[in-house]
Amino acid sequence: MSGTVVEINNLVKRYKELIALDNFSFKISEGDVFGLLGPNGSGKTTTINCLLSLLSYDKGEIKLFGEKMTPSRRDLKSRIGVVSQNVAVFDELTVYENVDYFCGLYIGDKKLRKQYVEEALEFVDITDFRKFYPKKLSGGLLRRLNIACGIAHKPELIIFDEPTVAVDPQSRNKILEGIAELNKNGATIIYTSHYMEEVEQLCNRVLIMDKGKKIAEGTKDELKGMIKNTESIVVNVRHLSDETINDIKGLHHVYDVKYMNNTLTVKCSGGKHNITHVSEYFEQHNIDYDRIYSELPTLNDVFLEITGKELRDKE
Amino acid sequence: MFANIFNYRFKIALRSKDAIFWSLIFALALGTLFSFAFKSIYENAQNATLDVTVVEGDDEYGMVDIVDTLKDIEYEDGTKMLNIKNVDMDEAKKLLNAKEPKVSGIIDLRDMSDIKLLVNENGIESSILSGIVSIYRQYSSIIIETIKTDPSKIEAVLESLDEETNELVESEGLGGNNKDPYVTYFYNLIAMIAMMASMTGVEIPESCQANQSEVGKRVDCSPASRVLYEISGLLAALIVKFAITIIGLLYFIYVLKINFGGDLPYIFLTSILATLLGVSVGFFVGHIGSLSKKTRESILTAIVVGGGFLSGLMVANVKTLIEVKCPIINRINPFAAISDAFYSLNMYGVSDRFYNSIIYIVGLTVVFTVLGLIMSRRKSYASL
Repeated sequence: MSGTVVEINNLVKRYKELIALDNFSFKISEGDVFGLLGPNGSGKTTTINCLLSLLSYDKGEIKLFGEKMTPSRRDLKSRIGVVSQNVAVFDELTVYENVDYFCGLYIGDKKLRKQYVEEALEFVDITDFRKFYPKKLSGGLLRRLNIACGIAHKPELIIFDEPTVAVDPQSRNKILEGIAELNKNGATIIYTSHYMEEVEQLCNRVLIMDKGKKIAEGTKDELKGMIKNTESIVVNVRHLSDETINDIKGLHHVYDVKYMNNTLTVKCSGGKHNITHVSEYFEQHNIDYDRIYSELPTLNDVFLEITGKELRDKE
Repeated sequence: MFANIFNYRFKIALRSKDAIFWSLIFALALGTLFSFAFKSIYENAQNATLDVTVVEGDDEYGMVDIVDTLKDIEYEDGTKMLNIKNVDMDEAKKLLNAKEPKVSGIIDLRDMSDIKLLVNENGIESSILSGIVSIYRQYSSIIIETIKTDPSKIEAVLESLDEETNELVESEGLGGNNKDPYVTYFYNLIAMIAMMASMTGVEIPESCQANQSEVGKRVDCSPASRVLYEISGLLAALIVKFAITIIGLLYFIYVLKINFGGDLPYIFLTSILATLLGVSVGFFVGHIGSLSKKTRESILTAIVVGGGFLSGLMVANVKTLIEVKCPIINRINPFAAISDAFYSLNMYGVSDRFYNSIIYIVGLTVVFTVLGLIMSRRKSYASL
């Protein structure tokens, strides 16, 4: 059985009157790619900052690799890599120098460091830009440099805090592949993102938090099993009457129907052959439709159903 | 780890274009402009004795010494700066308007609380007279106010005024090392370069504290020792800033041919220690609370510009006024400490007063650096 890399118990963090983390707890096992999801202001970044001992907290306990994490635990810090959502590099240093500088904060041996830096540059595929200054790099390359700076020292636990914000699809793909490879090579990953498809692609375990509390946690399938929606039937059809829509609402296992822009979305909870029931209804009532298909719930559905659809205005 | 941090902090300090521009290029350009301006003044007024008339009144405050001092003002070669004729106001006006013999102006001392200068044309001569009268006007007002409010301070005030007078005019018997009154402006420029080093000093804590920058977050997450990181950063910044100060000095001495007097090694020593103080001030400010980057920069700008102004680097006599009104400002103003050291060298050479100033600069440096290091202990922040 793999060991526990991160253990957070009953963490409470207050900013004056605001409770940012409210008895928040979770565990991450060795080898996990752990997705931390939540709307803006839900407490993701606060959690990460507490975990790294950058932020003080009011109550609770944080253990990394089985030991209590404090600001002075250099031994634990040396095993962690951080890739923050904002690019953190020096404009006055070249790509190579930046990676070497940050790697040098962990690795004293010059020869070993050189090897690690080269490997990190190669890993994120920016070797050709080694002599460039950050200001000359595109957004995607800058993100890749940011990653290289965070992982060059080969950490056992790597925290990615929204690493793909404002990145082009090619760079994003490269970054996601890289993270998967890091995990394959043995690193435990904590990944926060707003992009559900990334979390779905990368993470084996996901925690959804809101207002400083854990809302749900489990594997992707476990999370999908927690929500009402098990299948959405989508039909491209013109001119549906209210009567027809009400009829469809009455079909077995159907709990919600929406008709917009000539597209009918029928949400079902449980049951088998839901698509057959819907298509049979159309045929029996001689209603022509262009296309009908079934969609299984995504992490996005899970997220929206669990956290609600109202807009969040706080970061 | 220390060597690696030092190496890269050195490169960062060296490649920081803004810092290099303001602390070196700007200062050199300003020095070059000063040099041209002063050369032209020198050429126009090379040791010319100005004929002036002085109209005296009742010496209510016993300031006859000041009137005598006017007569004693000399150029470096011993030539009198002013040829004074004591006359009444009617006679003075006649002489001022007469074509021959021509006088450059009338100094009206009938009311010592309101000394007046009358000239009938603008030019270098009236500028020189205006400068002299302006100084004496301020001094007499300070003396009168001191006599009125606290006569026990009069000796200290007179001593302080005596020093200030020598920054612009050279009085017989004071025996300073450098007879060039304008060299003070170049000392001021060196002081400015030194204090600009604070902008680099502030970057060191900024780069390793999670509550100050993204890079700071990254460094704070690492196992690197905060104190070790900051000391290596300080060392790197100091070397670059020393080099900038020395380049400035060498440019003034060898390119602009500014005569810094005979104590060059001490000028270099003062400049280097002043740079050390500049960096330490920035280092200290970088550790104050959770101020934003903009607030820190504003504080440093206030220290550099405001401190410079309060120490008399831009307008003469301000330091004396502060000494009378609120001496504590002169005690805590790092710029005043640098200005005082240069002033001592300029006027008295290597003296006890110079050593005292140097000890004070070193003391301030140690205080600011140690306070910064104490505040830099690794910790978690309440908010980021």
